[in-house]
Amino acid sequence: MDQPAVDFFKPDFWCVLAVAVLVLQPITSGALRKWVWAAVNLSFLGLLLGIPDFERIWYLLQRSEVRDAAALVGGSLLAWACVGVLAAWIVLKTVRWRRLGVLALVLCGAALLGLFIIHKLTAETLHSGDRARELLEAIGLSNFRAQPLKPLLVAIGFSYVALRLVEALRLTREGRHPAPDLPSTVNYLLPFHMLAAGPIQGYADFVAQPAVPPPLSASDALAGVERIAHGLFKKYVLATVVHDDFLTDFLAPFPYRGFEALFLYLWVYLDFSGYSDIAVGAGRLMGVATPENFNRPYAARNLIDFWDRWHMSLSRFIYRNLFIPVQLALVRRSGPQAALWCATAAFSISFLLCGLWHELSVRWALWGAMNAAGLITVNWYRAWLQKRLSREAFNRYRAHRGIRWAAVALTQIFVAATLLVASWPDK
Amino acid sequence: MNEIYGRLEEIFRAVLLDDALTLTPETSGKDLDAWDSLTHVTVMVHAERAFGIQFTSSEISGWQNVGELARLIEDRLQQKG
Repeated sequence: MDQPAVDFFKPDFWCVLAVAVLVLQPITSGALRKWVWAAVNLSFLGLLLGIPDFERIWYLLQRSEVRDAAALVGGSLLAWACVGVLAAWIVLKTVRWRRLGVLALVLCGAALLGLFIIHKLTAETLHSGDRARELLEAIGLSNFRAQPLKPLLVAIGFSYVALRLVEALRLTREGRHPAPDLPSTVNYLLPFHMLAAGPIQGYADFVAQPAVPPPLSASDALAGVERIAHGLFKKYVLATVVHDDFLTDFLAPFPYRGFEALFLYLWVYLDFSGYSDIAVGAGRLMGVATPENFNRPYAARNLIDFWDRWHMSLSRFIYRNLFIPVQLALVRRSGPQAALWCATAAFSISFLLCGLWHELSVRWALWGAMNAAGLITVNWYRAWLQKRLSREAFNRYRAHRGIRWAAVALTQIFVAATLLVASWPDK
Repeated sequence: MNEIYGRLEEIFRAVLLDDALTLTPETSGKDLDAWDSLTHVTVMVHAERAFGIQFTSSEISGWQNVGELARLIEDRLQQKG
């Protein structure tokens, strides 16, 4: 399972954060702050990509693998990232001009899809190289060398950048917001503290934040530092203990594997929510709106409740950009009386695509199908209860402590089972 | 505006199966027990049919309380002329 790939032991992130806090605080002009924030974000990208692994490059050159070596050169990767941002900005600017906009959208969509497939297939390569290569051969890309792109796509958190771009394109196209200028495009697509693994800020929220935030108070600064410390403790102490002492990569005897799935869920939660805490704390120090990603998912009483609490920025993105458009189109066509069936279709499409967004593989498609099946079951069960019980009886049912505990336990076990399917080792 | 609130209240009562439900401009999903993503879209489609308008998908998820929804409907009705 892929986890956030930022190495917080290296000084890069902390140096850039310190500089950003010091430089952004005194600025009172919105336009200047926008440019400075963009410079900070590009500087971090430069630090991330611009320091080449000379030993590896020399090794590749000795083997005459010039193209792979070139792709490892940080400067060229950074240049590609900048070209990407520039292209995104041009597309966002032209998207409302009818003919040019349609062309820009088609080109951007094709490029996004192509990069996505490369990214997710190379992720699969890490797990089972032969199968991914067979798949590449099957679609006529047997000679395609995708691997050199992988460091760039991982480093810039391409999965997250792509989702932000999709949302900005949709809202700009609908005319809800004007197309961003160049620094705003950089700041929305590549905020350094949300780069590797989100959260995914909604474009409307990005536009709505004040051009110049209120000055950083002592209590805000303390709260930001405390949140970062909390995240580091979760990620590097608690998650490490769980990982080192309770996870065996499912090599332990069978009875333990059920418990191991629960520990895997706990580890993913601690590691990922720890990373999100660091991002939220950093955002608070810099005065950059950073959405929350977790809200006690272990207290969720059903899967719908769980997805309101787990990786919230992703689930809200799915809700805004997949679930609502699909359900709306279906309900408009078939009428509100068919809302339950329409939601069934919308859940299925949304979570199957969500699974494939994580990785183009059977295991993640299964993960998506399991989640969709769980959400659909909860939805139908609730509708059945509401039909069968009076309003008072339904409220009593929901308030019953025993039922609540059982529902929470069942939900957590189901979530652990979905993660088990997504993480099951090949060998 | 009062007429919009009245019709919205009828829609909310029918979708949420609660005849005693009363709306204020500040009422949000958090105040309604049976409110979720499914009822949200159903309410919006009922509103589209009741007022003869159509929302974009970002407008569907873009309001935070009933007051914002009523203003959105009022804007749409004015655009419609």
